[in-house]
Amino acid sequence: MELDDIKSAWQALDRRLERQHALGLRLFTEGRVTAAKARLGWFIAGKWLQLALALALTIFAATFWIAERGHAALMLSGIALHVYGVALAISGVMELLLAIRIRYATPVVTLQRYLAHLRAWRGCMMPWLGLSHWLLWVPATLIGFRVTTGVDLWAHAPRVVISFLVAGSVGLAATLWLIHASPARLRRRVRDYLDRTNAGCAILGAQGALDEIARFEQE
Amino acid sequence: MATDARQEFGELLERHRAIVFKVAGTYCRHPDDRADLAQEIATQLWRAWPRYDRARSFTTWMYRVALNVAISSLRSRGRRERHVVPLDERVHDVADDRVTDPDGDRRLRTLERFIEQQEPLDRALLLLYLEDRSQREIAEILGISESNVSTKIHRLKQRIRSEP
Repeated sequence: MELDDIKSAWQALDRRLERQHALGLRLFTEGRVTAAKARLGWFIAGKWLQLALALALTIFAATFWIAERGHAALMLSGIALHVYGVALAISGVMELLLAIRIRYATPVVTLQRYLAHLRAWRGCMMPWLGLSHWLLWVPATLIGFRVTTGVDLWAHAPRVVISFLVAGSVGLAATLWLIHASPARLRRRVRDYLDRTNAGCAILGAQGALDEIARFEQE
Repeated sequence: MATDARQEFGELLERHRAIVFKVAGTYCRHPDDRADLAQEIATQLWRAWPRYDRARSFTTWMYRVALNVAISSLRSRGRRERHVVPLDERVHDVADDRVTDPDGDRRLRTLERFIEQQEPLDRALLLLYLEDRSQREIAEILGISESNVSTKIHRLKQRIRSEP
């Protein structure tokens, strides 16, 4: 195809699009702008809340496992929740920092890189944070028992705790199978769902976008 | 004051509205998606307006916002395509039915196909090139060096020429 051909086709397309939209551009409405601002506002408020909860959990878990150093199961439970709280806090801070940088008037390549980093980060962290719940409920239950009744569940009923861990592991394995090894059609539906809910799988798309940006920046 | 800002923005948007439609037309196949995207671009332009530095070019700022919104929308749509339109239908959709021009339609189809084949950032470059924007402005809009723009336009021309 010749350059003149593509330019004349572009001009034709331009004229036709212009005719289609000849009624005028009164597109923006206060409702839409308010909704867009509210979306971002809720996102940032959600991240601050996540950060506050993560810090509270970290402090509580640290205090708990330091006090329970004499009970291995309780100490390990406290450490597990402590690590989870730290990961949640780091994730909240990273997302806030990335989200604050996002402004549409930024040069295109730069902004698209920020967005891809944000998606990659979410895609990387969210599945881990989400999947860990399959097992984290067990230490949370142990700690809950200890705090509310003073009972060390592991010391009194280790088989119950082991059955909890087995149930959690089965749930974790089933989820991983659904995401990575189930039949293609089912896998696609699960991944689409996770992607819609921002719970993960975005890592592949984000990595693709980052690769594309890197290719584009190369001379 | 707010009314003045709205009026000033409204006038500028009206004067440069073609930019919104061209960007939406470059990144969306289906007319409904295109209209939605144009609306979203206008919304984001209005949201970004308070931070617009009047010492800088309005069109450069507008292209940045419009392309960023369109590319972000394309990436999220790519993961969950809303409407699928065969290329022939799209040409028909934008065609002026008062005029029958088989040669023009063929060129349009080729252009549409070529646009569809480009990655999102290359589409932005193609649009700016076809709009006859200077290399300096393209560099400012995209955030890459002028020499990079020059190299990319050279490659883009080669790809266009190799298109059947």
